[in-house]
Amino acid sequence: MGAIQNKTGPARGPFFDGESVTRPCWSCEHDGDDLYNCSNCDKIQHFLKDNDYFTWFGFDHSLSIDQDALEKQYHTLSRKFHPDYFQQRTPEEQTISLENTAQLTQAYRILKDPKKRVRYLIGLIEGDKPMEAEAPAELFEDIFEIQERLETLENIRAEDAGQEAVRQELKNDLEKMQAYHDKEDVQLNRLAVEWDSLEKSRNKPTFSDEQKAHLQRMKKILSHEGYLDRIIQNIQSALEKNK
Amino acid sequence: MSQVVGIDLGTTNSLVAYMDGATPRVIQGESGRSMVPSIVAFDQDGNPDHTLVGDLAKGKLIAETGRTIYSVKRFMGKGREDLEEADIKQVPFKLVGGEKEALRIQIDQRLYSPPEISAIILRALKQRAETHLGSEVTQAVITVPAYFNDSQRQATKDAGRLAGLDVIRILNEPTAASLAYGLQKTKQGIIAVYDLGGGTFDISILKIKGGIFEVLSTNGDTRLGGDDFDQRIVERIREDLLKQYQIDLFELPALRQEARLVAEQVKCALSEQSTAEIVLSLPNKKGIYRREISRKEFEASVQDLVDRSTGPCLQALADANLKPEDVTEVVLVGGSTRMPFIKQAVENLFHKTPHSELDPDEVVALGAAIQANILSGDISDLLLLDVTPLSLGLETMGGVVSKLIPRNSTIPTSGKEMFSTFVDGQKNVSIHVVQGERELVEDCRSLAKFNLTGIDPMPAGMPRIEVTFLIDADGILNVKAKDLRSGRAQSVEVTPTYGLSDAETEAMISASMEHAKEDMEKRQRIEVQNEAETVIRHTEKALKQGKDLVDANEQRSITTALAELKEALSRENPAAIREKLNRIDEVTQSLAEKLMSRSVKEALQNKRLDNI
Repeated sequence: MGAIQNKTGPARGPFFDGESVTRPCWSCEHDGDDLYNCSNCDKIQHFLKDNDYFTWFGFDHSLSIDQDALEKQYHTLSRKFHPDYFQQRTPEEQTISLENTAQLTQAYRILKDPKKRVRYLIGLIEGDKPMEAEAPAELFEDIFEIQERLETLENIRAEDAGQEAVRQELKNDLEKMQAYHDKEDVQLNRLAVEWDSLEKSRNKPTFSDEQKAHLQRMKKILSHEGYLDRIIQNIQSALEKNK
Repeated sequence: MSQVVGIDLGTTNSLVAYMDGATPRVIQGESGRSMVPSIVAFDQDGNPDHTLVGDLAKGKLIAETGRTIYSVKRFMGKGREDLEEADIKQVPFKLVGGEKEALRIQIDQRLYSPPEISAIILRALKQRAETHLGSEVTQAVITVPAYFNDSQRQATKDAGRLAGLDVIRILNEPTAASLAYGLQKTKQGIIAVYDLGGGTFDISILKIKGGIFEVLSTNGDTRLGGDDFDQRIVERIREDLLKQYQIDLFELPALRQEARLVAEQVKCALSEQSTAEIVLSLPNKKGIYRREISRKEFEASVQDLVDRSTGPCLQALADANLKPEDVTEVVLVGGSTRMPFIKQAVENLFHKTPHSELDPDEVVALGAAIQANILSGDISDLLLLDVTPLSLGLETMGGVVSKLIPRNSTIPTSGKEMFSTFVDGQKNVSIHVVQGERELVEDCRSLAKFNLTGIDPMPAGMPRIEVTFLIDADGILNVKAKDLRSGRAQSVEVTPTYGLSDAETEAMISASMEHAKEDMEKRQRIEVQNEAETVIRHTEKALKQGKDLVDANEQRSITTALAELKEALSRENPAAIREKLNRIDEVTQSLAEKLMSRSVKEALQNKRLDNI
């Protein structure tokens, strides 16, 4: 397991400052803003440090992405960067090819998945803070009851009367939680559509306050969903285990 | 440039192939056979000149039971605790190795690591290719089961190095097969590759589009293969012999080996005909054991083995978000897929007749040769995008795994994680990397421990070290770390849990060279000397800067330790240098902490918050 060669560029401003960023080519020192290859010597370049996943794929920061276009662009970029094509090149080029491809596959994995895409966009604006799972306030009471029922089920024996009743109650809980999750999804989709229209009409280099407020609301929904996912999973595995 | 070859290093048979113009071809040996049995036979002195490989070694299986090694692939990159009692009992040679140690095979008084045995097979394949091509072969693509973990891949790469081959890619077997089919037959669609080899089972789901072969998911079982089917027949023979002759097969290694070979023949025969006869001549004039076995009877005895391949297939489909109907073609790979009921099982699973136009024994090697040409730059319209079969995670508090890279992520791929210290002045941080799908560290496979060393002593939680875990195109983990405060690369020490450390591999490679040991010692000496010089410089500087922070006693013990280190350095004695380095470490601990807290205070006073 060898360490990978490390190469860092000079510090740059935030990705959304709208100014064009340049970097000297690591090989010929030509100063350019070329996304992928140096326009002077054609050597492969590191991704511009402060460009983000959306930019690499040539997209704006809309949340709806044409999956076919995404895949096509992913294939095009893979053909540009993949280590298979750099096997016979210099170690520097091989390293850049490896690191760029590693980032590219990660970017594709995230952009492909609508939820991961929103989460990534939030991270871009807020910095990499972990997102806490949080229970929706209006479900506090239900969740409290669910916890109790899960405990009861854990301590009850299969032949005991009442087990079936608890199971049935938990099944109802499961449905309720799933329905709430679906409702949150609808809400999330609506916000994403609104975000996109705000993004399309954006004429300033920075995101508007309204956009940021939208992201906050989406963040709230994601943290609710994170919590719901966990509770749904808990109910499912309890029902499975205590059959 | 010399030709890059493709090698299928199998559990039971190995092959080497190359591109003859635009056509991949398997290279045959003098006998006209393309398969080299993956068997190595040693003589009693372990004389390398007398070591036999392939068909010749197969001939020694019965006469030289304990010195003839087969199925070594099952032990690649594994430790003692990876094996069950049955695995160890099943082979007639001796496996040794303690807890958290790579396995070794003991032959007479000598120990061999599985990569060393594999290297002997690889060397034979290399020679075969060189004879056929008439030129030296130095680079190769070697295939492994898609479900191989990091240590098993690393062990395969080590074997290549030991054989004098630059392994330019570790390629997944089912992916290689898809490439061979893709070049010659399938140009577009979703294909499932069902690969049941001698010792391992893989299922891979791929999407082929415009020359790009994108693996969507992979799954498998690295301990399910044709060997297990043979074993069922052997068990049947054993029962009979116990009952009829009071002979325990498992106590007679030579007879057991013979039974295994007969079982393999019978299994193959049953793929062609509905009944076959087991014939085994018994020792000590006990006559000949005969028994008829029908295909039905055999199939019933291995039904559970076939069923074991179903789970991984369904999981792979689910991971790719597909239903069986979405798969446009199914391809069979591996000799074991010749069994008619395996074909039937696959057909039932995917609702379509599977392909087996290309020889299931050769197709992997052919694909490896194609990939070799892609890497040489001779083919540029095909591109493989493979995945990592297992999730990569880090151990966190309470032995819980925090997943960093999920399974089926396209490789190369990377994940980043931030680390800091828990104790004031802490200089090392240890990171435990595991592979697997389970929640708890103890249920996953330990890959390696990474030690971030030489962290500047600071109050707890202050250092910010960003560690990047990168899985390269071979599916092997690389780690680099960066100190975000200084922007410096942070050194990382790696201790692989199983398998050979880099140093061990180096040592084996140079074992035949006379000066191997001296070289190692020299390198270690230089390293420790460099370290000593750096420490002396830093300590002297710190002493100057922190004069007012130490009392006379402390000052004295530091200067004494410093003088002793210089003395050891002048004597060029690595052990003594190491000892004195540790001593300096102890006596300067408190000074370093005081200096640090002072610089933190100064920084705060100057409001240089950006530097904190």
